[in-house]
Amino acid sequence: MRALMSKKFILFFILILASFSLAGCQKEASNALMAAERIPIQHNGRLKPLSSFSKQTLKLVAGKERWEKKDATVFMLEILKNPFSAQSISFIRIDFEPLKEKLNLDKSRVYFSYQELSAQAETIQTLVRAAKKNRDADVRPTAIQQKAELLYNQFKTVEALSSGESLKFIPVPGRTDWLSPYEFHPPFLPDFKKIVILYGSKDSEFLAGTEDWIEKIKNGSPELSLSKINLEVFYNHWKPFEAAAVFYLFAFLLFTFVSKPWGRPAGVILMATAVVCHSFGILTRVIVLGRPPVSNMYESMIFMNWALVVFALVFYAIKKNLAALTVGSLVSAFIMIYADLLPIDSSLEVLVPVLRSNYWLSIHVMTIVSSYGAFGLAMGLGHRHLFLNKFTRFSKKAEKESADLIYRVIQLGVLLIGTGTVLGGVWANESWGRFWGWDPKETWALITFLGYLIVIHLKFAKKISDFQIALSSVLGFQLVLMTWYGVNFVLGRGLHSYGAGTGGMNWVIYFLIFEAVFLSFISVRKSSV
Amino acid sequence: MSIIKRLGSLNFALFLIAALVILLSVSTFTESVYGTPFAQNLIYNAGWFDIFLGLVWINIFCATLTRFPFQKKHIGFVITHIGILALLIGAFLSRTLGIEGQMTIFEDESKNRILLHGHSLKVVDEDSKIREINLVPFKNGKPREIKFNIPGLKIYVTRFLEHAGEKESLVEGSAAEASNHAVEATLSGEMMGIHETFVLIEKDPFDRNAYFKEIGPAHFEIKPKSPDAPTLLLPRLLLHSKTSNETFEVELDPNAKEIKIPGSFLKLSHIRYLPNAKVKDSVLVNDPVEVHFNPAVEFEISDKKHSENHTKFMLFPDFESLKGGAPNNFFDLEVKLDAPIPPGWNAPKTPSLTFFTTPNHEWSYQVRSSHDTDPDKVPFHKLERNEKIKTGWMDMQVEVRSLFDHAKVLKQIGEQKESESSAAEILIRRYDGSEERVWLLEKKPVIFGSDQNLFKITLEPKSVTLPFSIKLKDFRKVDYPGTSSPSSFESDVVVTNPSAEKTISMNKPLDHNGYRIFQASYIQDETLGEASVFSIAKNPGIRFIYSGAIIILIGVIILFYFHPFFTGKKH
Repeated sequence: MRALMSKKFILFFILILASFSLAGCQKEASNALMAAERIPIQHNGRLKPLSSFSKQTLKLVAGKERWEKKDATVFMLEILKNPFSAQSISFIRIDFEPLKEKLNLDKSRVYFSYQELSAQAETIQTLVRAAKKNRDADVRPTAIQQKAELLYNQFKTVEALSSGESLKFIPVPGRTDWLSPYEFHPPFLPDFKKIVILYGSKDSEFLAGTEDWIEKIKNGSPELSLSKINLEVFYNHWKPFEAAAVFYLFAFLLFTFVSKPWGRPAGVILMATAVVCHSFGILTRVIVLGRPPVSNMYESMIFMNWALVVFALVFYAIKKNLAALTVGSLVSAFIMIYADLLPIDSSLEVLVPVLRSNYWLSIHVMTIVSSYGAFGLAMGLGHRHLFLNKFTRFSKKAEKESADLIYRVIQLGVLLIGTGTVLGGVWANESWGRFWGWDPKETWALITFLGYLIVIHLKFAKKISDFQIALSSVLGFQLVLMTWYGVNFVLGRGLHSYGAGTGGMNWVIYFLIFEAVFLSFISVRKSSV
Repeated sequence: MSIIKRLGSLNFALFLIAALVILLSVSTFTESVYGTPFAQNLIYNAGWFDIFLGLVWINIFCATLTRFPFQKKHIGFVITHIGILALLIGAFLSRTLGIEGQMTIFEDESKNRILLHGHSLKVVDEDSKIREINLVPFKNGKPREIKFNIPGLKIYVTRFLEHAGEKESLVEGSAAEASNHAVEATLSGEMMGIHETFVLIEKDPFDRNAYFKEIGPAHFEIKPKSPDAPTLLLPRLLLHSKTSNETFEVELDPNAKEIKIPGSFLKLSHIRYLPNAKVKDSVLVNDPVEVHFNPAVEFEISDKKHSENHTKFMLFPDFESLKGGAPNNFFDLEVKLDAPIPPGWNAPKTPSLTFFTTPNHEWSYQVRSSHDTDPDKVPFHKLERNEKIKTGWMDMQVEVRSLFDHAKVLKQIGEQKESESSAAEILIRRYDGSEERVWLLEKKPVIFGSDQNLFKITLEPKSVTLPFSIKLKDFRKVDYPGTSSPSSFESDVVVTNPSAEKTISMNKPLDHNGYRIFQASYIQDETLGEASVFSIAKNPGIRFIYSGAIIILIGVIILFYFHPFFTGKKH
């Protein structure tokens, strides 16, 4: 028995180590590459390291962050040796069949080069113009028009890359916009092109040249913060959110399958580690971008998840109910994976002026998003409750405890969404002089609030059963989903469509189908008690 | 008591909440499909929605009353629900008394009127008595009566277009109509990359100089072949009154003693039109010998009470037209003179293509290049419809698309998505049964009624005069480094009553005289200059809303987390 336990313990340690190696640096990068990653570049209104620029560019053009087993930065360094060569690389991803057909492209291929596409530039532009016309008339562009807009963006990105126009590596004293070494060579700087050519053949010279380069431009531009650049490179390497996801998943496995006394504290420690990674990731984004961590769909998912885990830990501390942690870790892992699956922008980008650094706005959005976290936790607990009720012997006492926990979490959510919505009104009043304007997002926040308010009132009047509380936590979350995702992506109107990207609808629909199947199972099946 | 109990019952509350949930979800989808203004008018701004919220208020009020006399255990409930009552009162005050509008000010301009959402119809009689009625958006098709209470007249709106504009079109009239020639043609040339379609009209009522056109160095013209045929139209005056923000057009008959300006109560008198104006011994005289072309007009403009005198030179549009300066400035007019330029003004232009017409509609043309100095030596060619004329100027050719012998220029009002201004079609029905349909464009009024009893009807964006004025001194925009997307923008303004100099920026509004002024947007235009768009709001219920929200928060925290403390029960 003892032997078996120690065997399990060893297995557990191996798993932990595996997770570390999975989450940590994928490969020991060479010194030369590490130096190259830190080269500052001005892109999309921000100074960022070359590694971020390379990943973002490659992700936009090719739809992934590696190309032919090469790291994005390595790939970019090869382009930097001769930017014009980017025109002949077949790395522009087109996966929409009707668009390929329209452009007379080989349908068996997915990647095309700039040169191949330039013959079709006229057709692409016509589609883009039609899309713009639709948008101006408040009509949603057709699928092919939207894909053409994306392709146009890819096309233009490669064009700016090959002409050297987007390669703004050179700061100019007294000016805010940087210049490209392919268009301009200041006398006080070493020749950037000559340094880049050394990469791969004379790595040690490249390393020295790059460090010299970074040192020299640092002296010429006060707005450049090398510590921020280093932090961002570290963030790119270390992927704190992926690490957190792995930890959450292992914590869940520990809570569920290890009944030994060490399982629980080990799981709590694992979760705490995950929260630390998670917080580090959020904090890095705040420092690098200088703004609150809830400015687009990706960030709001990450923050909602963070709030969810913190609430799970707090409720575990108060109620001593392990369900909070088990469910919390599983839901968190899921949301992390979801955030990566959804085709939403996870890159670090600057903001439109309305959303910039505003005290009330940050507090408003963070409050609202943390209420989603509470409702998400309640939703997870609700699923657990319904499942246990129907498929296992769920004691009356355990059921009551579970329902009480769910209700408490819902209460917190209601408090937060109510406060957050009022704060949104305060912000709107401070910036537009209007407290409430029936904007779809605020209307849906109100709907969600009112929906849960029904539960609160029924509970006060003692007119709701434990089972119904669990059920309502699952149903209520569908309202949250509409407020959170649906308003931006389904309704597509109103002030809050600032934050909107496109797509990801299929993943949300899979979730809805799962819920529908789950709930019909629950309603059909008789309780096992 | 039982009625209060029933109105304040939990069941009624649950019914109201559930109804609100369904109603609001439906309305957001309505908005998604039919657009924001439609949903706002159908639901959120509708009277019945107020009544619905009123029911919510009554329910909460009665629910609170039924707890009376309050006990310790009621404390959380009562605080929360009193908070909601205060918040709803605040919301009602803001809905009924609040003002929300926009103001666009260019640099160095001063303004005190703000535009609200929506439009209104205004009827004014000659004694300046004003009747103004809101124009609620409605589905087009069914005439809707606008009750102005004018004896013997009924006014209906039959169509309303939120985004409308005038479109000019050229059509061929019947053979019985007066002869008026026009040609539509396309100039194209591969070498210069030119492809341009143009229209020449002998007599265009909306443009005195539509008979010629210059594209690059080339000159195109249409004119009667016989040299003594009358060609020129009467000059035209375009007037814009900044006081009333209205625009008028009037044809200048130099022989008329008095001309009524269509669409207004104003009239012109003492009109003197001088096509060859010259100032001699500080007197304006016509001198066709010395001055070939310098049209000017002198006139007096007046209504029942005021009159002012103007002089306007067409070639010097920036000269102030008002005589006597500011004290006489009643109408605050901008005057434009549109006079026909006589053919051949200045030196004869080459290269040129001239289309010649005759009263019998025989068309011919003449092409000249820069070395054809003597026009008499250049041959005439007979013109066929759809003819492609080789000009001989590089590879340029002119393709004649259509010829008109009885051209008519029509102005039609229709939907124009990109237009900022609106239009309404109104139907005026008199007691004798006669009817009249007219299109009203924003700020272009129409006069109706009998001679003794004249009315002016205007379509306007709803607006309100502020108790203070704002002057924009400077607008600044800061971009994200290396891009042209703005990271912030701000305006330096001077406000009056009480006067102050302030800076308004994005997210940093100015509170002034009960109003809050926000930087909403901006205009940067090469010709018009820089302007700030402010949104200006007065929100009288906001104190109730804020305090209500705080009270609710306190109440809810007591209810959720301190309930056992007040009820004495152990959790």
